[in-house]
Amino acid sequence: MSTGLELIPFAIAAGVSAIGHYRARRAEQELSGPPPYALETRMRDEELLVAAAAALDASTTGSGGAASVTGVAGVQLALAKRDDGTFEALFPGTAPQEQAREALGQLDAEYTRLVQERVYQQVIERAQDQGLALESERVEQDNSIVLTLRVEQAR
Amino acid sequence: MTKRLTVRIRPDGSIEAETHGMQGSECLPYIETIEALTDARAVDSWYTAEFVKTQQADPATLETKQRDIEEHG
Repeated sequence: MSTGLELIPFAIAAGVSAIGHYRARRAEQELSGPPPYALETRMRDEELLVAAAAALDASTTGSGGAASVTGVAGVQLALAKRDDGTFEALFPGTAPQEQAREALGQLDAEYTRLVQERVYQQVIERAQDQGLALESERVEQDNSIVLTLRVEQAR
Repeated sequence: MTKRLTVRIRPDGSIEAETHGMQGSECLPYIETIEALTDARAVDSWYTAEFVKTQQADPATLETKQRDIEEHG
């Protein structure tokens, strides 16, 4: 062994927790009732986000950086892309925060599982072009996928 | 010695990679290889006992790479 690396795929915002800050949307507050609110996420890839919602049997509408998701943990949420490339989840003020966090947690777990799947496919597809040959692969108890690649053409 | 990379892809999407069978700074170009393979950015790196043992002739190289990851991570 000589060196080790920790990496975060571009589909996930680095250094951001699965469910980020709460922000009340007072500017959009209705005349009566509690104001809608937003929760930050670390998700950045719209295609994976829609696929994650579909995998949870939720229905999704919209595209181009905005989507509405219905049916995750019994709540409706709207997703909108922020300037930093992450999506934030917008909930109606009537949605209990605990339920909103549960929905977002489910969505995030499915999303990261899809990121894992995509990274696996990319490594398999790109190995040869990088001068590498797949030597072995295994799935560990925690569902991590471990790939061993032999260097065929040294850098 | 056969040179190898191991890539561990966790269910939370994070990735851990290691180089094996490489001498000293020989492993450094593979940081970019691993980033290209995985569409990911290195946010942390460390050097094993083997690297440190073989790196003594060129200590500046790893410090430069580590600094690069910290600055652009």
